[in-house]
Amino acid sequence: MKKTLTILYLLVSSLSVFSQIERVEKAYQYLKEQQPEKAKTEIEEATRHSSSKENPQTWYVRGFIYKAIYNKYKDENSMLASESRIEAIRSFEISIKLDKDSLLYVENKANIDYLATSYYNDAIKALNNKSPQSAMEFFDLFTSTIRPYVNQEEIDQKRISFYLALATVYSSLYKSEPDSIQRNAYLNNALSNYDKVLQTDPDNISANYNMGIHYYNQAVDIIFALGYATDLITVNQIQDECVQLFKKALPYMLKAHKLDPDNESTLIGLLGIYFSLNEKEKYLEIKEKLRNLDK
Amino acid sequence: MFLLFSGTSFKQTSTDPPDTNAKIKSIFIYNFSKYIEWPEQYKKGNFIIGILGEESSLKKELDIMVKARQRENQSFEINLFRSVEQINNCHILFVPEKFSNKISEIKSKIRNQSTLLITEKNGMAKKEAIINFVIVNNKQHFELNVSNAKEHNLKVSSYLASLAIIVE
Repeated sequence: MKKTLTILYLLVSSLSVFSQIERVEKAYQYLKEQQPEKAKTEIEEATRHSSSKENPQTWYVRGFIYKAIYNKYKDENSMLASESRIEAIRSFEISIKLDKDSLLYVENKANIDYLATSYYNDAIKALNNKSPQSAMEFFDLFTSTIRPYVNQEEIDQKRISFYLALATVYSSLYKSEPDSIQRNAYLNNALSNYDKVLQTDPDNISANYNMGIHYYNQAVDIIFALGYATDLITVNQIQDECVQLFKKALPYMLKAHKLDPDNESTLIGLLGIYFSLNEKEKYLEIKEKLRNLDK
Repeated sequence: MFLLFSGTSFKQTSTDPPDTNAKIKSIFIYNFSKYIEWPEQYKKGNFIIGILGEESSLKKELDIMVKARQRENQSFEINLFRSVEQINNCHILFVPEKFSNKISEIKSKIRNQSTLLITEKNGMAKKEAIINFVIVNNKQHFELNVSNAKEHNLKVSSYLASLAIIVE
């Protein structure tokens, strides 16, 4: 009797193992037939069953299914698409973890890359729509997804490009914002993102130039916003503030100039800064360099 | 190259930088008009600010200023004198640095007038100027020669004098 029960148990177990494999295959079939919702039902069962939940193939297929659902609904910007993307990534990650022989590593990583890139693309879209907050959230999702699979240098390069683009958006918002408090907030955000670039890449010409230009323009804006009847004590204080800004601008612009001595924009930048600092000799020196550049 | 320009653009269309100094000088000039007293006969008609030379950033700033401000019951008027010979009666005369070598001629022209002579070259306040713009710690500042002011029957308020570098 005991032997019969054991055999029956083994038979049922093997049948249920077989049925779980069938579920995974069925899920894959539904996927191929572009019925991801049905595929999802099958695969969820498989991920719960003890015989298949530790199988990297199960999670690999699950990743594909959720990736398909994400792709189906992504243009609607829906919660379903968003959650499906998360589940897809999670599935591929679990597959990698379970895949002791790394038989599926390349495919899993390729899919994670694909989905991480979709976060990056969403970040860029948000930048183009001038939604910096949203852009940063997507970019953070991109880096956290891709981090275990790429080297730091690759992430740094993406980070530099992104922060430059983000700073540009803030800069554009700063220029068009009428409210002075919000304007300052945008300016500070632009500056902090250029600064982030410089922390990773101190010789980045664009970041150096733009840091210089922003400080310079900030001071110029302050001066030109003064009323003609401003009292002279206030004028003196404003001048103090602006001299500090011009002096902040100077090292960045000098660095940008050093990195590319023939660049006209940086020479024009230096010209403006020295002019506003009333440093006549240096102003004339730069003016001469500009003249020589034209020849 | 795209990224270089992807920040905010520089605030100019040619290589000449925006003239922040002209804006500041125009504010100073307005304040000089406010804190210096002219004789009674100069309180009628327009308050005339003369500039020796060509069109300049300072003239542009003052042209804007006159539309926005008034001096008590007098409207401002800006006159451009292309040469020393053209200089005629004005409350304030600004002499840019490049015309400083003509200061003696200018002084002769305005000898008997209550004209506030403003210059912008080192040492001018010790000579003929009443007010001379100078640069101190990268900032616009001004020297005041009270004796020269008195010579032209101009009363400088103690407030304005307190803000100036006094030159004897």
